[in-house]
Order: sequence, then C-alpha cells, then structure tokens
Amino acid sequence: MENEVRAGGLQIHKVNKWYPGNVHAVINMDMEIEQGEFIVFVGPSGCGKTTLLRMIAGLEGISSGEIIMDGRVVNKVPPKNRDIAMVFQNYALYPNMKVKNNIAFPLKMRHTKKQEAAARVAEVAKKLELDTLLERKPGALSGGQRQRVALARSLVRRPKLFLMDEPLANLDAKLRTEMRREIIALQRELGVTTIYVTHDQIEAMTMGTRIAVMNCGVLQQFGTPQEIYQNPANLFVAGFIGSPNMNIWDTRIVSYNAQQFLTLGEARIPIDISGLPGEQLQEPLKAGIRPEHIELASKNEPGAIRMEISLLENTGREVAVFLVASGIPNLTIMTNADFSGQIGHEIYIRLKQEKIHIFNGERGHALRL
Amino acid sequence: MKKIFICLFLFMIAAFVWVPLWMLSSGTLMGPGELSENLAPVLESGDGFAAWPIFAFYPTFQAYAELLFDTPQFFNVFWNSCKQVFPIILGHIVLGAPAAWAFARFDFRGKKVLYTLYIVLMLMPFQVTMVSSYLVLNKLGLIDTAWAIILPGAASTLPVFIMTRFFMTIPGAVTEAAAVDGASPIQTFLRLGIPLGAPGILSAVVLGFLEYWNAMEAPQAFLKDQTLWPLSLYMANITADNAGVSLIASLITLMPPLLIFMFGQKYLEQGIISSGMKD
Amino acid sequence: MSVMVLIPLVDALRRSFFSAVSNQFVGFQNYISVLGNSAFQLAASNTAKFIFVCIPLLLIISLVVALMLTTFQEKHGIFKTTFLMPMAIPVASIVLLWRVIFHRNGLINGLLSLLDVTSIDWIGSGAAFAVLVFAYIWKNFGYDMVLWLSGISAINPALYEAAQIDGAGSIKRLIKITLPNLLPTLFTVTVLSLLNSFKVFREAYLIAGSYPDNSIYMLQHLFNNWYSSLDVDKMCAGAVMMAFIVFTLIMLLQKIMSGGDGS
Repeated sequence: MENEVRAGGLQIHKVNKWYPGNVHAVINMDMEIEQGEFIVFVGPSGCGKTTLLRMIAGLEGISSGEIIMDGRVVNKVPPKNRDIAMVFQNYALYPNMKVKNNIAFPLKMRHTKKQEAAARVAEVAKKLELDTLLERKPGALSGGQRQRVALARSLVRRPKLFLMDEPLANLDAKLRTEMRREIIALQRELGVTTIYVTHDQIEAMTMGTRIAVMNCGVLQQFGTPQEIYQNPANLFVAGFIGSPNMNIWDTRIVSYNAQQFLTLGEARIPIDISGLPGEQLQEPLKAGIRPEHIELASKNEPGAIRMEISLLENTGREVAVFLVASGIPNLTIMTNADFSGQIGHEIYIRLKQEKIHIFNGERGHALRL
Repeated sequence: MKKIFICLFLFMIAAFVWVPLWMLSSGTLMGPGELSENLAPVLESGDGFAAWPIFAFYPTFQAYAELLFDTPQFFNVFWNSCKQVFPIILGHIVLGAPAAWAFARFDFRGKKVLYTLYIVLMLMPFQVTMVSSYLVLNKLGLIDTAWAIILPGAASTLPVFIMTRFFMTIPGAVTEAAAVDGASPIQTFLRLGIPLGAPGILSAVVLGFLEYWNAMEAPQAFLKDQTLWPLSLYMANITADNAGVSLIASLITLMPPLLIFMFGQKYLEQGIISSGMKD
Repeated sequence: MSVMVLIPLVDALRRSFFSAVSNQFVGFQNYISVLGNSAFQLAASNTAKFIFVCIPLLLIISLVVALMLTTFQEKHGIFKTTFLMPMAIPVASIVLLWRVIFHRNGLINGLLSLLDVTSIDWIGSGAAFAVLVFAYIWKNFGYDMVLWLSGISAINPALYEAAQIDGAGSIKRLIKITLPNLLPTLFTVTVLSLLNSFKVFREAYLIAGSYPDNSIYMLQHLFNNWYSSLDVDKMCAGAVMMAFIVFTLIMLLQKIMSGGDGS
C-alpha cells in the first residue's frame, strides 16, 4: 500500500543518511509528494534539507531506505537518468560556455535535434527575458541574470522533477521577492513537481503548497503553510515559523472554583481544557501564543495584565512591542503602526485564549492539534 | 627617496639578468676574427684577459650562416630535443590530465595513499630513480633510444600534481549540475574539466617544457649514442672548439623556452604557486 | 602509472642489500662501503655545504627582491618578468658565458686586474664553489620570488590598514606583520628549494665537467661516476639513503603544512 504507483509522484521511504564519523544527517525520512506539488524543505542550516535534496537528485548516496520516483526505486540510478533538473545555490553555470550553450547543455546531452534544441532555447530565453544575453558568458552577467540562466537551463527540458537548492539566497532583497513570484508563476504554469530548499521561512510560507520543516535530520512537520502556522506540531515548528517568534513560556494548569487556568508566571489565564488529553496535563507543560494574538486591553478590563514596554521595533506597517513585568515572562506583541506607547510606559494586554498552543514541556509535541 | 633607492637596487639585480643576455645576443654578431681576438685568453690559454665589447665592432651574420648552413649536426640535435620534449609534454596531457581529474573529482579507495605517493615521487631527485630506471629500460632494450627519455618523462607525476590543484578549484556544483543535466563522467571531463582546467594544463605544459628542454641527467645516463643527444648535452661538448657557433647555438637553444616563457609567464607563475600551495 | 616507477624502486631497495657481482645477501655491507668511500664523504660534505650556503642565500635574496617588488608597485611587471627569465634559460645556453666570465683569463679577472688584484682561477680552484652558488642562485631566485610574492599577497590587507591607523611605520609593519605572516611560506619555500637544489648538478657539470674541482664534487657526480662504472650495488645503497633523506624532508613539509592550518 505504501508503494502505490503514482505518475510523477515522489515517495521517500524511511530514508537515512550516515556520513563517515557516525554523523546521522538524515533520520528515517518519510514523505509522499504528489504530482504537481510545490514542496518546500525548510529548516536551520545543518538540518539535513540539502542532503535530502541531493539524495533525491542522486548526487548523494542513500545509506538506507528508498526513494521512489514514478513507482520506480531510484536509489542506484545516476542523476542523468533520473529525469530531473536542478538549480544550485551558486547557480553552477558553466563558465566556459555562452548563455545559449549553458541553456542548451541538457538538450545536447540528451541528443536533442539541433533545430529543436535551438527552438526550445529561444522559447525559454524569451520567457525569462534572456533573449539579449544569449551570446554572453556567465562571467559578464549580474547575479539576477545568472539566476535566470540557471532557471532557464533547468526549464529547457520538461523534467519530471525540479529541484532547487536555495536558489535565491545570493540575491538582494528586492530581486529575491521578484524572482520568488516568477518561480511560483512558472511552476503553476508548467505543473512540474518541485522541491525547493530554503532556510527562509518567508519563502517557505509564500511558495510552498506544502512545507516540510526539518531539524537535526528529522522531519518535524509536513503540511500546508496554514497547518504549519496555525497548528505547529511541536515547539520547534512553533518557534521556527513566524516572525517575530511565538511567545513561549513554562506553564501549569491550575484549578480554582471549578474553573481551569493556565499560568503565565504569576498571572492566570482562564482556559478550556476539554479537548486535551487529561493524563498528559500532569507532565511539565509549555504554552505559546503568536504576538498578533495578544491584544491591547484597557486598565479596568477583567483579566487584563499590566506590563511595561522595554523595546519597540517599528517596521512602518506595524510595531513589535517587547514587554516586561515582574513575575511574568517577557512577551512580544504586534500592534498597528499608529501605536503611541513609549519605552517605559505601562500598558495592559489580554491573550486570546483560543489561540494559545500547549506543548509537552519535555518532548515538545503539541497537545492540541 | 626610498622608492628611488629600491628602484636602483632592483635595476642592479635586473642587470645580472640583462647583461648576460645582452652579451649573448651581441656576441653572436661578432665575426670569428673579432671573437677569437676577444676570447683568445680564455680559449687558447694565452696571456691577458678576455674582453667583450658592448656592441660588436664589425657586426656580421657570418656565424649564423655557418651554423645554419655548415653545421647539419646542429639541426639533428635540435630535432632530437624536439623529438624528446614534445612527446613527453603530450604524455603529460594525455596521461596526466585524466589522472589529475580522477584525483580532484572522485573518491576511490586508496586515493590518499596514491596521491601522497605521487607527491613523493614528484619530489625525488633523479639520482634516486636513476638505477632502477636504468635496470628497467635496459631490460626493455630501450637504452640508447629516445624512448629511454620519453617514457620516464611522460610518467612524471609533477604535471598530475599541478593539474590536480587546478581541477580542485572548479566548483563541485558545476560538475554536479552537468551530472544532473545528463552528462556522463567522460563528457563532464571533456566539456568542463578540460576547458575550465586549461590554465592548470598550460601551467604543467610550461613548467614541463622548461624542465625537459633543460634536462641533462636522463639523456646523459641513458643515451650513450651521441647522435641522439639533445641540445642541453650537445652544448656541453661543443663550446670549446668554436665559440661563435656555440654562442649562436646557445641563443637558438634558449629561443623555444624563452618564447614559451614570454607567452606563458602567467601560467609559469601559477604553476610555481600551485606547487607550493597547501593541501 | 606509478607502479611503473614503484616496483623498480623496491627492486633497488632489495639490490642494495645484495652484492652485484655474486648476487649474495650482504646485509649492510654496501651501505658500509659507500659510507666509508672517500669520494662519497667528499661528495656528501660538499653537497651539504652547498645546501647550507646556497639555500639561506637563495631564500634571503628572493625574499628581499619580493618585498621590494611589493613596495615598488610601478614597473612591477617588467622586473618580475626579468627575474623569472633565468628559469626559462637552459643552463647549457648560459654556461659558455659563465665560463668566459669566470675563466682564469676571463672578464672578472680582467676587471680585477684593472684594480691590481691578483687573478683567481674561479673555476679550477676552491672558488668554483662560489661560482656554482652564483650560477644556481642566478637561475633559481625567480622561482622562490614567485612563491614569496604569493605568500605576501595572501596577507590580509586589513592588517596593514589597521597597523597604519595604529601608527606603525613601514619598518614596523614589515617586522610585525609581513615577516610573521610569511612563516608558513618560509617552510614551503625552504623545502621546495632543498628539493630543487639537487638539480645544481647541471651547472656543476656544464661549468666544470665530470671531474671538477674538489670543492664542487657533488653527490650527483659520484652517482654518475658509479653509473659509468656500473657499480649497481653502491648506487642502490646510495639511492636508498638519498630517498630516505628526501622522504624525511617531504614528511616534514607535509607535517608543517597540515600543522600550520591550526593557527
């Protein structure tokens, strides 16, 4: 049942990678990717995302497990026979070849007829606005232009699978945003299954139809951007996705007058625990809430918590406000740009009870999904 | 002030190079009379001291004519040098470049040991391998043939070492991209390794040419037959009888390496630097 | 490819313990007779003397030239080309000139006679050693200079800027920054020069022939003379000892090179 055949799909089945010196870089990776999906591998550096991508490409051996493309185990298949295209972080253009020969290289290697190859190169060059650069060598191009050539080279064939290894990491911020949109549009248009590696959570959230969050070689969560953001599976995902970071603190559930409360330091927040597995509430717990789910409150509102502003970060569109108070963990909240508070001012806040996440304090998994 | 001093000093040192070269070229224009008059004290152990005018008083191409038209032997020797040096260089490229590519790009069992062995062999002086080479060449019946020079020369490990250094600077992603794009390892080597490693190959060629054009040890040991001698050995034995001809022979001998140097100085420098680079 | 070279070398090692004539195992007999040979002692001590005189001179001259070239930026190229050119000049081409210059009745003595200094037979006497050192340095200082230059260019320029801001003069910068940072290069240059110095035989042979003045009778002459008389067992023993010394040098180089990375 697990090895069910699907055209264009990719299955990663219990894949492990050990490097010499007993370094376990990828641990028991399991993933099912459907035809046409845009999958983003995201995680901090060293999380195994690039290693996994390179194993899918065939550039890296697989220590154990299986990678299945189109229902065929490809563990031993060399890269050139996997029908893939890859964009590398540093573009990896062939410095000795003109742009047009760079783009034509994959066709040439597969003995495409000259005329057809020329037509395909012209077509893809037009799409990526490279028509005027075809006679140049990569050394004479800007970073953004090189990036386009690398994309063109991978697009010129219709591969079964696109692999992209941090392709935008070396571009400046503005260009990065533009290219991001362009890649999304191209992928939607061509419908080719794509795996995109990045450490940038904004790229992950905006580009992926599904996101695989990884850490220390382990898949933490695999889901749509909404699932990942709204229902992080564990503390790592909760802390990694979202900026500013989710507020996380040690907590307990206490009862008072038949009503349950969540502790926030010395403060008490009423909470409905009916959906939670009761026996796990006895173990150490952590709670988390995203900054935008903390609201400003008025002084006299019941349950309002008094805190002091320690730092303001104004992005122009909104303001991140960092709060301190004795006996209460530090919190970050997001407010409108017209927020008038100053450092040292007192303000009152209220946490949206239904937006609080509760995690097992030792193993990190979420108690409510 | 300091700059002027340094400049003067550099000029002084440069004079050590320029003056001998000038003497060599101006000397070739001296007629036999003038030359023997100037050099009589050296050549005939007469009294007084040799002299060397800055310009020939009676410049003439007589010595050139003599060498070019009356000394067929010289052409033979020149041709010997070419016959020995060019196949060696060709061997460096044909055998050395793939070996270097393998060292730079592939992981295989025993690679480290083999590479260290290459370095050690590269640095061994000729005298260490002289006996063993002789015994092998003798067994193969190659002593007193050009092969006695070519085979050991072509198998030299220095070019492999230099080319490996250059191939290693090609980013791994470029060859990986080629693998993904459908190139076989051989295609990758031919289409990317060779063009991108060209500076390394040229460095090896320049260094190799200078070394083997100048080589004396191997020909002296393995070529008893004087008709096979290359320029370097021949020169050592003609100087006494005819100063004019031997001056021109000197000049002609140094022309090919000097030309290679003029066009390949950049690669020579890169080659020297790569021979001293850290692993 | 390397097997072609390696097997004969192992064979040479075996032969060094056997008599060439009777092909009997003789233990270290060959080594003892080599070490006791007076020609060997002369050649070995000359070679050692040559190395101890020539290498430091070569290193210092090439370093000074390299440093001057870096301070003197303009016309840098012409000088560099000039200093490298001797590398391209075959020893055989230049040696006639050395003979004319250094002969008993040659140009140097001619100049000296103008100053009323008595003639020296440069090539036929102990002074031949000086001629050899000169000829060797002449040809090889460009090689070392390039190595030094690459070492100098690898020093982070920010160090100099920082020192300049801190008020260090050019001499101070040389002593405190350039020289210490060239230490790793020093080892590389030294070992490569040592190994290259085995090629000095070309100069020695071309200037003075197979049986030169005692002061420049080198190990390589000895090898050649053994070779002419086909003393295979002696040669094998000599080659093994030489290989051992060179191998030690190389291992030293490797150790220093890999050790230097830690700093």
